[in-house]
Amino acid sequence: MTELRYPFAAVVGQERVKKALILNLIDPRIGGVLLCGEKGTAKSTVVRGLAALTRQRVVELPLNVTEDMLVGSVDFEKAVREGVRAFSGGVLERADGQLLYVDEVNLLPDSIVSVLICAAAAGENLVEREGVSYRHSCRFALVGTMNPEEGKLRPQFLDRFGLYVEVAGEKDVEKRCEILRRRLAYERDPAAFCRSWQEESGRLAERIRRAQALLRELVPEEGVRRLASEYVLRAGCEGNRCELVLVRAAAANAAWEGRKSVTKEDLKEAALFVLPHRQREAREPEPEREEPPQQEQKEAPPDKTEEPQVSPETQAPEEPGPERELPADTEGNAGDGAPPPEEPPPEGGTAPEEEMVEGEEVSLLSILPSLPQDRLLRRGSGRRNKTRSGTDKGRYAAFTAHPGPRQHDLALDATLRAAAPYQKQREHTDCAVAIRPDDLRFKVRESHVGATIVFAVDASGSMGAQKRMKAAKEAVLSMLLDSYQKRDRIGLVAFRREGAQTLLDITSSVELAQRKLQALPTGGRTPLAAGLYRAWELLRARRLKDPEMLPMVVLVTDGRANRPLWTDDAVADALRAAELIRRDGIPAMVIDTERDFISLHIAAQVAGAMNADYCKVDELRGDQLRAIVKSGTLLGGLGD
Amino acid sequence: MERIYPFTAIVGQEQMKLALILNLINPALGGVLIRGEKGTAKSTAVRGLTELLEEVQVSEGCPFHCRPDRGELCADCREKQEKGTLRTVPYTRRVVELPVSSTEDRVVGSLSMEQAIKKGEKVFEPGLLAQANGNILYVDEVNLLDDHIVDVLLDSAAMGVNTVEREGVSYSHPARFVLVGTMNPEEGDLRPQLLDRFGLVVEIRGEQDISLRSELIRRRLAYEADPEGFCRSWEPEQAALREKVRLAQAKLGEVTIPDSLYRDAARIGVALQVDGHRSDITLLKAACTLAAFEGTGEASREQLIRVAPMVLTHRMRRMPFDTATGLPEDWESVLHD
Ligand SMILES: [Zn+2]
Repeated sequence: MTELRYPFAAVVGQERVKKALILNLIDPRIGGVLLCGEKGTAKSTVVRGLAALTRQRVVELPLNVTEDMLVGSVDFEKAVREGVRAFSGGVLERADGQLLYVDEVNLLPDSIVSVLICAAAAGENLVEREGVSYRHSCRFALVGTMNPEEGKLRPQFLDRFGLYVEVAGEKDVEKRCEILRRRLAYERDPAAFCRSWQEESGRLAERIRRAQALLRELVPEEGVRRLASEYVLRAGCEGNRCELVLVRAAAANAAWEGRKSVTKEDLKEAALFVLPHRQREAREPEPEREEPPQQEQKEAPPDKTEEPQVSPETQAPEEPGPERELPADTEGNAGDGAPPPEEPPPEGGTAPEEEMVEGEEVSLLSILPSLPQDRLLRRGSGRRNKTRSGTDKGRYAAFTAHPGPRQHDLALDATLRAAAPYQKQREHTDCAVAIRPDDLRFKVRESHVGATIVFAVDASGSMGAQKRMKAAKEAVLSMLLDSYQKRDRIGLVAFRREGAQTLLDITSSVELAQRKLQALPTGGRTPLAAGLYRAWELLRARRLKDPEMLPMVVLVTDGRANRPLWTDDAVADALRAAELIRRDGIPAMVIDTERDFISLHIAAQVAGAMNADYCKVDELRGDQLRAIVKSGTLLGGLGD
Repeated sequence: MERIYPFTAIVGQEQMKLALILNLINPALGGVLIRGEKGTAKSTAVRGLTELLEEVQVSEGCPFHCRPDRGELCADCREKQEKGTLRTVPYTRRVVELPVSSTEDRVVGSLSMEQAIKKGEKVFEPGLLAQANGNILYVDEVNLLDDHIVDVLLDSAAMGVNTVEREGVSYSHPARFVLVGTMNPEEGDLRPQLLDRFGLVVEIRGEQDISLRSELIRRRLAYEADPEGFCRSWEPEQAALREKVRLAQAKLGEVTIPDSLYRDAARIGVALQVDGHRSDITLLKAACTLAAFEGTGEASREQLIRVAPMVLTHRMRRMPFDTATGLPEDWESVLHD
């Protein structure tokens, strides 16, 4: 489509966004930019407008990409017609030497992210699949835009973006007016609008060209490199690419300003782009990291329920390609063809720079945006985000020769590729392609799976005292908020008087849950066992319908159980019900609303019996609650 | 063929009707989401748009019904145009329905099975997004649609292009459509990020006024007793609305925006703390479209305020469960210096 893109030069404000992108045009080895910010801030408009300023192309990676289209695959058309097994390049091949742009990068499926990380690290794409071996150079600057509310990124992926910029909407009325004027003028007549900005765009492109030329003669001095290391160490950043990117960005900045030497100011400005997304909090051991990226993966693993089988591909008549190690993640590979010789960064935190003033450093770090990781980095097992699904829903992520019961979801492309090489030998009817049963490949789909959380809320008379109910409702509400964002499903059980009542069967309407909760009356005795038992029943019934769901119980109570369910001991029954939940491996959390001076600790006992996380309601403010849910500790017991 | 209940015969629900009409006039408004309980004439209204859509000239034999007069052509049509072999045929714009059970392949398109197996050729088989180009794409119960399909839909709607990199085909074609979604919020909500992508959102409730309710029932019964006759009796109203929409489409490009209106839109955006700038832009565009519909040559503050609830309610930062709309009672105070 020959579309007239909104000109980069006509973007109002967003100076840091524009600068980060320009630095990458000046030196593509910087490795790209991640633009992160609220919706509707023209993030993608700015990126798409870049194409007019450079000879590089902006190659877009759509979210619906399948793995074979990304890395390339057998060209079945050629195989059928000419009987040769030829490789047809994918998006990665087209992206070589260009900008690779992913809009909504945080919505990209895991399997695709793994391939991207791997290719970006190696600087080449190595394909061993479906009987072809192929290798091509693929060095690209990765540009991503994302809205952090939508999901997070793995640390290895974050590190692949050279620079990071937070984007916010313009708050100044005058500037906002100007944005409006230009946008509407553009929409009314794109051609005329672009024409009126042509000169400005030309100037910008020219300045970038001059900076590129200048960069070639610009060698950062020893002092600058030393200072860069110092910055990186102080900011607590990980990875040795960090210094390199920092020095490169500083150099590009100097070139942009038309200077032949890199100053401390350049370095500072660069640091604000390079360090924020690489800062780590006091290093925590990374729990159960994702499996290493598998670029050579031929087929998705068969369904969990199936025994692993040898795929027919490995028995293909051709010799299996030699096992190849992926090149190590060294910087020498990540740049373009001839990276300038770089000295390794100085060891450790030695040799504090003489000229550095202590106070300055502090101020630099203090202006770094505070730990965007909180909002960017994905923690925990990640199971709450995506999972392979055994249904026909979800996106086509990979294919398998062993579909289990899902024999109808044919992956036509993969099937054709499997059949193509044998066409010469096979008998043909009136079709060009003869397909045999063992050629058949089926789709493996991947879809979002939220948690299914049942809230069991104590509504007995004792909860009425001391604003316990109010605190409980607040706690549950704040968790509901998080569920709203995550699209979890929720259920609501209240227990009071003689038993438990399902206020809300499992639904995805958080709004409904909230309404029911607001209207919840309190009074009567505390049938804790009945409440837990009902929660367990709800989840068990749901699990039968949807075996892939991630169940969770949140119990809110003061623990004053005084109404038994099975025996005449209310507490023992509650513990027994808790045991049921634990036995089914359902993760749980107990929020204890007991505020009395003399505490009975029953809620804590119940938590123990359920193997649940336990906390006092007073220790919880909304934010913390959400953090607990997000951290995945609740899902910790789930395993894989 | 069953006659569709006439759009103009729908009783009440003025906001919903206005939102739909504004999108008919100006497809760049970004679609409509209609939220409301069951039985509130949501689907009737959307399907009723069919009879208001005009006939246009499209490129012959093109699966995307490209419109040469609009300049957005697929690769094939562009080639034909360069060779001078592009011919046009009349085509009536339609409401294309996307069922909730749609799979991704059906929506974005896929590898053509027949061509692949019979001829060994790699050919793209267009999906619903291809059918939707130049038309209205209607998703009933859009909140029940798979998340990733909603993402794909909104992406195409925003870009006007469907880019496919899957199943062995790389393909890109124009996909410019007006997205209309309906949903019942009691059955789960849309992510706030997706809400923002809908240009306008209207909340509807069952009609509360007794006389309107009885009128509603009276018309419904009359329609069911004799659809043909009922539709005929509404034809003058239908024709008048069609004409009014047509006129507005022609006038839209000439509507002027007074300087103060830019400032009003920006000020509202800042005061209500909406995310980003999409709402400011939509606010102005909606006001212009309303001006075109009402035949005023210039968009006014009064028109801006009238469209504001449809543009803003779903974009305000508020707790998702707040029942209050958060919209100011007194717009003048927001707009004053
Ligand atoms: Zn066409």
